[in-house]
Order: sequence, then structure tokens, then C-alpha cells
Amino acid sequence: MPVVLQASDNQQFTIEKAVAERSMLLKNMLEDVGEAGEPIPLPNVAGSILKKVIEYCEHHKEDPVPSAEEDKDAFESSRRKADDIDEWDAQFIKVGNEELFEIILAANYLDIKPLLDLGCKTVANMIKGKTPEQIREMFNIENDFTPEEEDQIRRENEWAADA
Amino acid sequence: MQSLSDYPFPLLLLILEYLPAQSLALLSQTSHFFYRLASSQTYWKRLCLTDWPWFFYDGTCEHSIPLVEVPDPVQCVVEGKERSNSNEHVCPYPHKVLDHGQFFLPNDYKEAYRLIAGGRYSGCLQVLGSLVDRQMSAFAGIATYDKRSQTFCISYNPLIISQWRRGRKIRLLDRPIEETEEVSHLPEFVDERIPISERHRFRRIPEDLLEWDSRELNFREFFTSLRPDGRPGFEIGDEVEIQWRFGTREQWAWWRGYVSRMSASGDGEDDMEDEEGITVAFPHYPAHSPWYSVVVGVHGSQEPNPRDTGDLGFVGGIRKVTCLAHRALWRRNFSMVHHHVEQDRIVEALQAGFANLQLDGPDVLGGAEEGEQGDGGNIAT
Repeated sequence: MPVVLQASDNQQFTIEKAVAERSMLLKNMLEDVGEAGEPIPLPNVAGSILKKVIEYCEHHKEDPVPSAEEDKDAFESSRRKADDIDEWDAQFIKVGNEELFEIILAANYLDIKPLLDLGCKTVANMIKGKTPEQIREMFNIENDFTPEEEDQIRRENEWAADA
Repeated sequence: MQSLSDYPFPLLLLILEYLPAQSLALLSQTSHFFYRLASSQTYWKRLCLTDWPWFFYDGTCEHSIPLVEVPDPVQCVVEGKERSNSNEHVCPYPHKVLDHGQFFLPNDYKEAYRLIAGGRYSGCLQVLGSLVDRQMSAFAGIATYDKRSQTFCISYNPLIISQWRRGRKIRLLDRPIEETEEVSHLPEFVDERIPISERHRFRRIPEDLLEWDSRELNFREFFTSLRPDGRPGFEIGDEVEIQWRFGTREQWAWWRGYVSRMSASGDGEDDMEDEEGITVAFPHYPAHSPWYSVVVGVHGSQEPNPRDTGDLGFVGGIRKVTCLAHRALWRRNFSMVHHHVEQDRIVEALQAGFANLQLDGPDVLGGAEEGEQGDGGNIAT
């Protein structure tokens, strides 16, 4: 039984149930309402973004469902690695800043944890290796430090500079 | 362009979790808002425990490096199979939460990180496979991170370690090419530089050894812990660490081997052996080498050991390697050891010790290479 999703701009998408169930929000919804066949309205997600999200879910529909326990493995690396992104995902997430922002919000809203992680890792990777000036410029951050404050923090962070 | 601060707060916190220490620090230089956000102890605690886990005691086993259970070639031969007991994931050693102040670090994680990464802090840790001739051993050392070369400068001098314990600030110096009289009284020379990419060779000083001088401690307790039937709690094939040192002025270090023979008085089986004790084999040495095996005497005699080799060193205590983290550390290290013993020699030697052993085939040794896969973790690059 296919599932119909309706984006904020009334665009409709018909997808397999298995694809929809990548989203915990939709999975729970479908369990609650059964298979009514009615379109599910997603007023927080624009059609262009929803299309992208569905593309992700299509590609990952065969993935094993991550268990909540997995994170708690005591011997798993406690470092969160930002660079272990697979090739398809890396290509998929090569989008503009704005679109990335929207995808992350959608993944958060739809509760698709792997996509949310992918998005956050991507933002983190954009910050990595940049100077404070470059970060400001890239993310539109206003420098509200006084020259004295800035100097002090720079000295505090001497260990992190030019490594 | 989207501003980073447009992200809802919880998502921003999530993004920052993926940042390495250096980026987090640089992000904090952008504005007041990000300074406050990136100064959170949560991040810095995680980064400290990931990047320099040996300097912090947070009540858990250190497990920052990606740990894969590396099949051990020798263990496979001994047992014919890997033990897979879910209890193995539980570290048997008690881990305490200790104040950073005990290690001359501030209790603020961000500040502690800054001192370590900036090379302004020297800490104590154990180094596996130190120098060139200490394969499969763990020596205590004082380590200072050098940002420029991305290496740890390490001194194994017991004098320096004991001064560190007393709270002296240690600054390690590179050994001059020619030692003049002037510098010869300074023992604070770097014995070895270990690149950060080999950080899997480090481990924490166990809590129960922290307050001891590495020259004085003779860890008998581990040995005397008896099973209910009155025999030492060891079995043939157990992965063990013995405490051993070259001479009475040296520090005790841990050497990893296998229990290859047990002899106890009244046992009736091993009356060939005159000493009551546990024979530990070190299969990376050739079978004819004096280093191949030592006997850990039950009564803790201070006779030179191995025997028949003159004044070659002394055995202290013995303990089982049961912690998964430590087993993985040793095994990864073992895979990098230059094996004096060829594959069939290991089998041969072990067969001699384990007459009843059934061997499955030569592929049991194949696992040795796999240990090198993991990267050493990347710190603030």
C-alpha cells in the first residue's frame, strides 16, 4: 500500500510504505491511523525539500533500522566522527547552505536520524579547517567582540591556531 | 547565506558535537554567542576523554580509540576458538572518578585541554612497545604533547616520574647531541617521540598503581589472589601481564605473554619442575631465547629471572588480561611486533606446552595483520 505525502506547497508524493517508514514520525503515524490512503500533510516541509528527503529514504530503504541501544555500546568509539560519510550520501548532501539548512530541519521534524546526522556532520565539516574570519563569512556571523576581547580569546586559543 | 545561528538551538548543539577541538576553539572566536556555546564543559569533557584519555579518570575504562576485537594469533592456537563471553565487555578493574587536580590539571575541561594540546602539561601514562627493544611491554613514562611535530615527547626516567608524582612541573628537553657536564645532571631528556598517529600505544596508569613509585611497587596482590580451591586464579592459555624489571634501580614494567605451564606443590603432575609457579611464555621471542619464558614463583623470590642467564632481571607480580580494552591494545601492538617466531614455530612451541591441543589449521594465524587497520584517531588537525 503506497503512502501519499503532501508538502507545504500542496505538492503530493506517492511513495512505498517502506520508504516512508525511514521517518519515525511517519512510521508512528501510519501505525496509529492505519492505511487510510489519505494524503499525509507535512506543513513544515516544502515540496522541493521533501523530494530530496524522499530520494534519501528511497536509497536507504533497505538499511537495517538502527536500534536505540547501539549508541550505548561501551566500546564504540566515543568520538563522533564527522568524516565517515559514504560516497552516495556525500554526493546527495552536496547542496547549497540554504537547502542543507532546510534538509536538516526536515530530517529533524520527520525524525530521520541518519539524515539528521548526515546534515549535522556536513555542517561541521564546513566549519572544520576554517579560520574564525572564514567561519563568520560563510555562516553570516556578526563579530560582536571588542578588539580587546578578541585579542584575549585569540591568546587563549593559541594552541588551536595554524595546526 | 544561511546564518549558523538560525539553526534551532538543539540542532546547533548537535552540530557542535561533531567538531574536533581545534574547530570548536576557532568557532568560539567568532562571536559572543558562539564563545559561550563552544565553551560548554560537555564538549570539552568529551574531547579530553577522546583525545587524551590517559590523563583523565572519569570512572570508566579508557576506550577512546576504536576498539575492534583483534583475533590474537597465539590465543587462537591455544584455544582453537575465540572465547565469546558477553561478560568480557565488562572491565573487571574498578575505575574511580578522580579529581584532575591529582594530576596537576585544572578541573575545567576546556582549560585542561588547552594546557595539554598547547604542550604546557606533562602527564603520566604507560607506553606499549617503547623504544626498540621493549616489544610487548608497557612502561610508565612522562609525556608532553608537541604541537609542532604532532608527537608526544616521552621520558621513561623513573626519577622524572617520581618528581612528577610529587608535583614538580616537568619540561622535557631534546637530548643534546653531545652531553656536556653542564647538562649531564639534568635527567629531563626525551627518550622517545611517539607520533600522535600511534596513540593506540598509550594506556592509562591503572588507578591502583597511581600512587606508587614505579620503582617500588611489586604487585604481589594480583598473584596471591587465589581461587576458592586454593590455587592461583590462572589457567593455561591465559593472556597475562607480568611485572618485570631489569634491575633494582629500574622501574617495574608490564610484559604480556601467556601462561604455558602451571606447577604447584602437591599437584603430583609437574614434579619435574622444582619451583612452584606459573610459566609465562612470550611467543614473539624464539623458543631458544632466554626471554622466551619466565617462571613467576609463587613465593615471590627475588632471584634473577629468567634463570640460567645471569643477572638479567626480576619478576614481580602477574595479572590476567581480562579487560577487553587492554586485550585489544596488546593485540594491536602484537600485530606490529617483529615476529622472531615463524608461524610453525609458534605452533610447535605451543604444542609442546599443550599436548592435548587440537589444531584447526594454519589459518589461525591470519588475524595478526588485521590489527593495524584502525587509524590512531586524529587530534586537532
